[in-house]
Amino acid sequence: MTSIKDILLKEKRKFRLWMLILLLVITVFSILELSLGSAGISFVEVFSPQNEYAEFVLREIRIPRLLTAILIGAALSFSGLVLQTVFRNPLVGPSVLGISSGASLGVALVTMAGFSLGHSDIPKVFAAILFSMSVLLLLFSVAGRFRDNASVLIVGMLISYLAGAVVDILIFVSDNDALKEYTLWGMGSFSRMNYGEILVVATLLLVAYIIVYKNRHLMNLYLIGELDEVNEKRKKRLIFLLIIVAGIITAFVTAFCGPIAFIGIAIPNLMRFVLKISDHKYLLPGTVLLGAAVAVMCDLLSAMPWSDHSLPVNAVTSLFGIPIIVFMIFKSRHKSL
Amino acid sequence: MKATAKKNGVKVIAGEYYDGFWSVPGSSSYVAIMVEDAGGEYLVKNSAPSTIQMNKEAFAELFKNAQYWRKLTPMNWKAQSLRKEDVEAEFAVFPVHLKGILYCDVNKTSYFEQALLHPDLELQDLITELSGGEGKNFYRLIPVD
Repeated sequence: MTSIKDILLKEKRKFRLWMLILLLVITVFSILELSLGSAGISFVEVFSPQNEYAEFVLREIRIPRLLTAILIGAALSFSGLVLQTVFRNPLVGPSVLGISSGASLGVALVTMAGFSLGHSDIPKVFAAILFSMSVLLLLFSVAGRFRDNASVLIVGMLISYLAGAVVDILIFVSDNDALKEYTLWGMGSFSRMNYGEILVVATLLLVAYIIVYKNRHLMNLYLIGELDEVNEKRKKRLIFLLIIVAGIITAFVTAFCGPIAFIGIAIPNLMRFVLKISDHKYLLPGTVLLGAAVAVMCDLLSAMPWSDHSLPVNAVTSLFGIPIIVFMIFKSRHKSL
Repeated sequence: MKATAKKNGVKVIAGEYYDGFWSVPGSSSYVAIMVEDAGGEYLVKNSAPSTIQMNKEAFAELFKNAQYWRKLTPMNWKAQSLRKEDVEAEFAVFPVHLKGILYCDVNKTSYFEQALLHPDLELQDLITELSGGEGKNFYRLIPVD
């Protein structure tokens, strides 16, 4: 008969194997991302650029884009996993609370109002963070009045619709240039962040990860309903902390890269499917690494290194994410999270 | 009537940056034809009549060979002259040969009202500026050191 110790050991081995595979995949995709592109930089030149131009392309274009893809993939997957746990629903993602819509509204107001500082992204980033954090605060001001998390979810979705309505009005009255700028922002891109911004988001993600990882046991208990019975106050505190952490991460990611679709919903589900466990001790690092790997792969495809054109990264993440979500919907008819 | 200037081989690129993408007029576009008629060589070679969206790297690859950058935007750009490092830092392009930016501020000129009705005026500007002079109608030259 198989003992619980054997099962845990088997889970641990499987997790380690998958982590190794994911690290390998990230390394391979990263080298491909750094060595493929219109500039014709050879594989060897990635490690030792032969001229000033190759050095420039690597330093200013390819390396920041790669770091952004890794970071944003990890951050959105992390945020998605946390929110799926909070709402005990595998179809929840970072966009459902209305945080992304708040960011979109902030950017729409800045873009359509024609307020710009040269080519600086500062007003847009500032507005996106301000509006998404305002949505988060609004959610919390109403969350205390509801007994269940589903009501918070509904309020979040209603805020999304409200923000969408205001954005529609702005689009209707805006000029062509502003419309184009807003539309392209909404398509998402990993090519916008500089090293300073990458450092800001990386620090935030690291802090958020440490906070959430420290609460992994409570999250496991909450997920199976044990915390509901044991300690209601502790449960509320945990949910508050998790929503704040996921909200801040989503706000910053959306502010810098635009709304990136489906990574946050699809990756935690894919990781659960691969590991076949719901223990956050394994799910948290696994989801972060898988998110990074998938984001780099999507960015590689969206950059279309064989062509001068490029695709919006949102289109590629949607093409990747939607089949997984459809699969999860069919699967969830038979089995809960 | 078609007026063209003698080819001077000056290499020109056009395009605007929008949030991670470069919007670049194709080689059969109005802009490309204007540049060619003004004696310049338009660097995009794709036979597209409309604007295409390019990634940063593909545009940087063209930009490194450009001597002039034709820039049309409503943004109020106050720069009188630029250093190559400024262009590199702000737009993530590598200005190896760049001499200047042919800049049209559509807020201060009547470009959209007049240029399509009087393409000769735009052509006059481009011919003058690609030969090292100062245009009088829509464009002004921002030198890049």
